[in-house]
Amino acid sequence: MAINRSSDHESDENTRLYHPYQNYQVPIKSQYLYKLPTSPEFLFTEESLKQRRSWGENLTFYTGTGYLAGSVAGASAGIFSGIKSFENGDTTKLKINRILNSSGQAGRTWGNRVGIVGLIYAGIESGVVAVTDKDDVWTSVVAGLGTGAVFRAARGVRSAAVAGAFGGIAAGAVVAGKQVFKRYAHI
Amino acid sequence: MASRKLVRDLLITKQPLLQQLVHQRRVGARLGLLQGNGFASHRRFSVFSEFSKKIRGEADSNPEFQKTVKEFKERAEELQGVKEDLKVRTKQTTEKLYKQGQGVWTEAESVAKKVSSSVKDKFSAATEEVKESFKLGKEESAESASSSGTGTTEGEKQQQQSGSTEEQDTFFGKFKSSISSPKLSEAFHKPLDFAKKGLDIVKDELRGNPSKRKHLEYTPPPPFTGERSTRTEMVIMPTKQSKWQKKWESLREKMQGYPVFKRLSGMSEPVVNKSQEIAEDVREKWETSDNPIVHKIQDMNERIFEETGSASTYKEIRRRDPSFSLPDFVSEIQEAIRPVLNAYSKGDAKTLKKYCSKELIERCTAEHRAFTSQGYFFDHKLLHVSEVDIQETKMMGTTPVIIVRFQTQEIFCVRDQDGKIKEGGQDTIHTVYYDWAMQQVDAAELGEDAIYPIWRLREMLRAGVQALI
Repeated sequence: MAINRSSDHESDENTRLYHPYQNYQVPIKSQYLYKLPTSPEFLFTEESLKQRRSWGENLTFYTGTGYLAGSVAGASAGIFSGIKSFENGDTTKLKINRILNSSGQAGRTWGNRVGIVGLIYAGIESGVVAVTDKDDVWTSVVAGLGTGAVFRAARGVRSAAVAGAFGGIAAGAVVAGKQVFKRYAHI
Repeated sequence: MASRKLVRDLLITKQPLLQQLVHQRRVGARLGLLQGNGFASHRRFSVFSEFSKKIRGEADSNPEFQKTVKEFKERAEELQGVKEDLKVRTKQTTEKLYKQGQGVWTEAESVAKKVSSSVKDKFSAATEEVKESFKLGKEESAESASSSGTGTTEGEKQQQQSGSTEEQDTFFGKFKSSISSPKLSEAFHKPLDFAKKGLDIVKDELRGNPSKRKHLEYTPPPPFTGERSTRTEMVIMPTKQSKWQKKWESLREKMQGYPVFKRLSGMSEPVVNKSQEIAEDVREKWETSDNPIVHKIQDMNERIFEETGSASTYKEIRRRDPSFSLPDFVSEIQEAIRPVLNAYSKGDAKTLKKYCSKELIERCTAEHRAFTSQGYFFDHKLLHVSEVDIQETKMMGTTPVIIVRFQTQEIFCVRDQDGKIKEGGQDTIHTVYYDWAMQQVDAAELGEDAIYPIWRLREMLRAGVQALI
């Protein structure tokens, strides 16, 4: 028994021994009946190499981050515009009212806009990745182009074309900047 | 030519010879008679010698023969001259052709040389300009380095600065001259045009389309400066038929020519009439039946497939104004709320005339007059306007009406003639809900020049006033 125990401990490093009666003072001598893995299992080794959010997580991440960023930026701008709109003879109550009104309205508006853009971008990017099975700069450029075109489609073809071009350029610039940052910042 | 001349000359010379021969035959006859009488053994030799003697005598005595012989000789000499002339002429023509060929070749060479020289000159000029511009750039950099390096007096520094500015001017001047040269401008013309067009498009998009026509404001069209015709005749014009229509018409005419189709068309009329009568009978029975199941079916049909009021109103709006856009309309109302409410609280009729109908203006003036006579003076301030929502769209009579709702925050303050506060306070804030009824006004009511209808505020309702802590 002692020899068997020591050999079991030494041989398998990626597993831990499971003792079903660990928390109970039961006089049972049968121990270490099962061995459980300590990391997730994959059928193929290539799957473990990929590090990417699923399409649902991507959708939630981009939409939520966009809404939050847009709201904060809009509220900040609204605060400054509210301060500018003060008039002579305004009491503290009126000043607070102006600030809250303008920041609330601007924050809501911009949060909605940026959130919608994030939603569209996440959807298109996930679609492109699913179709082409690639994830690189060109994927982001195509997703940006599609996002701009969809966002301005109601205004007309020319608006959609201009917005698409702008979106593609912006997405490409962001991804390139991110890569440069990773390369030189060493974070 | 020469051969012909020779033939002619021979013929001309032969005639007198023939005449002479005829004459000689007569002479021969006499000689024969004499010889028969005298010497029989020397007959033949004597005949020939006599003949030759006679010929010589005739030649010496006859001047015509001599002339003909001379002419013959002269013409022979002429023929030789003609041959020589021909030789000379052929030589001359060949020399001329050769010279002409040489001339053409030399001209071509000269033209090619001219072209190449001009091209070389132009290229050399362009390269010289470029070199000079680059040299100027280098000189500028060198001078700037030298000026920074050396420590000089203020005057010299100023002079150097002025010199550098002058050289910069010349530098840019030469750049402009090089750019203004026709070849470079031709080379770079098209991409610059494309870039300009792209920039214009982007600017238009960023501005947000100011060229669109507004729905709330009446903008008269520009005055017409051309001639107006007073003729109002109606003229019948043939409609343009496309290629396929022409083919179809011709095919139909062909088909109608066949007797089979004539019979079918003859038979079809009673069939159509009969079927129409049957359909009418069925419809009448359906509509006039008393069966409750049929009534339920009719009610469901009406409820599900009937056109709603909003749909009919939108149809009417789009029929009158095809370019109507609801989001644009809402944004224009959003911009118009603040001036309208300020004007309404102050009783400013001029501003209200832009946006409101006559009924609302009369109501505003009446209210203002009443409150003033009673001694109430409102000191309202508009703090905030929320976003506009569309509540309802309906037809009022024959004009479409769109009802919108929004919310404002206002200071509620009522004073008397002396300025004392009667009601509310200087910082009393009320939340007020407004319903605006926007009515479309026909172009005919605005004036003769108006083309498109516009929208005006027909009715305004205040509701839900409550204190905001």
